Amino acid sequence: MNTYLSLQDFSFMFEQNGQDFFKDISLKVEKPGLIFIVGKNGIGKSTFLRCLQGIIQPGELCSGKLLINNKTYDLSNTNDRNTLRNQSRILCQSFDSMLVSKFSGFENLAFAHFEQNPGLSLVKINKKEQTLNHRFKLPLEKEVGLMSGGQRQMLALLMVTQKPIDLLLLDEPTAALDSKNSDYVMQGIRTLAQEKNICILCISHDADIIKKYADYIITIAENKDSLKTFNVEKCVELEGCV
Amino acid sequence: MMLSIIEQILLFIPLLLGAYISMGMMKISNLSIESAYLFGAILASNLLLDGYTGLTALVLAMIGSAAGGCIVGIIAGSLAEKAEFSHVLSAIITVGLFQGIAQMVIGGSHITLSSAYNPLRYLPYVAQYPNLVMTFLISFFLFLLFFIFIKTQLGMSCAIYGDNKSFLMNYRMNQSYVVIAGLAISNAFAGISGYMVAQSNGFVDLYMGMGLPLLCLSSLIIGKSMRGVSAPIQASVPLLGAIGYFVVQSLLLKAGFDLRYFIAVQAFIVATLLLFSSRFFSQSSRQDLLGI
Repeated sequence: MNTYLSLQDFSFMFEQNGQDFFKDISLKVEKPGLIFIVGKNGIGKSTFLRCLQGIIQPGELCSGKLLINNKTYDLSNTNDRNTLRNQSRILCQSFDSMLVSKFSGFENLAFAHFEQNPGLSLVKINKKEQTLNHRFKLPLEKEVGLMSGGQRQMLALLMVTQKPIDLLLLDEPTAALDSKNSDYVMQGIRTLAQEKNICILCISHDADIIKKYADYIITIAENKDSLKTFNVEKCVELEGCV
Repeated sequence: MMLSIIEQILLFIPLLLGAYISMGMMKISNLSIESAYLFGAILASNLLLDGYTGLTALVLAMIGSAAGGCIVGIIAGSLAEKAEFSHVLSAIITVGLFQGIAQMVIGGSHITLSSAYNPLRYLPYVAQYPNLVMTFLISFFLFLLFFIFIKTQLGMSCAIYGDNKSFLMNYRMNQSYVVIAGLAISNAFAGISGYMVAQSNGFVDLYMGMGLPLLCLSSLIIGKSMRGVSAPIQASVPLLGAIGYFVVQSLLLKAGFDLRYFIAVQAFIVATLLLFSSRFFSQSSRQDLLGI
């Protein structure tokens, strides 16, 4: 069977307390799609997301092999982690940090294509509505600071997927939105996963959203020995998967 | 009188274009601009005193003055980004450093340019106003360069840095490179302006850059208030600022005001416009203006 995303023998610890936070975790996801990560507060969902993006801070140790889209990354290797960071994007709760509020949506989309060391090439602002952008009905000619929360969130999502990536990580993308905007954003996320053919891992506490949109659910729990366990559940049918 | 005001405006346009990049777009309190202005003038003057003439002298003066400003910008930017000093602290250190270097190079308090070729008189067929025409051509050329720069990836990245610093990190862009390159280009413009003013005066003075950050701030604030709207990049702001500043100055002069105290007027203009920033600029935060 094909595997799009797999994690083998993943372990993580904070050097300070010397105890394994995650130990020998393995999981597999066959196809790209929308994967929800659920678990109680403090269980390590955000830390897990950070490790999957290759962001390990001083005083942290991480090991294991991550396979995404036929590319393997050794999480204990700094070079591999740097490559992984280029192949993945994380959209945190403060999505406004991913946008430049004084510029229009069109300009922001152009900024997402900038090189690491921006040179003296002229910026082309493409004002023709691209198919995918058009579907989200974003007022791209408007200054970003004047868009609604849902529209800004959606624009940030479009921007992080402008360059080809294998993995998109979202930390509670609908936490600050009302139900109407949440649905708008989640439909957009789902469309992005399908059209771009990527894995989107998403932390959420909203059971209704998870029920409606999940392709897979990864549940992080703690067993009686206080060790974290990961359970991957495939949602064959959208209803009743939680 | 009129020609003198126009020449003053033209001489200061490159300085304000540079100040607009660092203060207006990047929102950095670029105090190092005064060292760039001085060091640009010193490098170009030293090249001219080596005896170059004609087009070579003109090109060397431009390259030398831009390089002088550029070096100051690179040092100030590197201190802020690599040594992680605040922009104000790195600028203070840079100003101190280059004041010492300038004193060492000049060897006194000023260099006189009377014995050197004057590249601003390069065009023989405009003998009546040679300085004015050449200054206009240089300022016009620099404005074109500035206009192209603000439409490039690097130029827009400077404005992105001013609006949302974390954007650069979130999209894996090299923030240090953007800040250092932005300050280098900004100060290169200031260096050219420094040289042109020195050439026009006929000497380089060790203290010619003093008070310039305030001049830049007041001009850009005047330019912004004349322009009205608060778009993140407006090429017209430094031009309007230069015109507005010197018009205010000449009006005060005409009214009998002693220009020795004009620096106090600049401070008053900056403070007043900032205090009422929300009314003038339709922006809620005065920190959003010009890196202050």
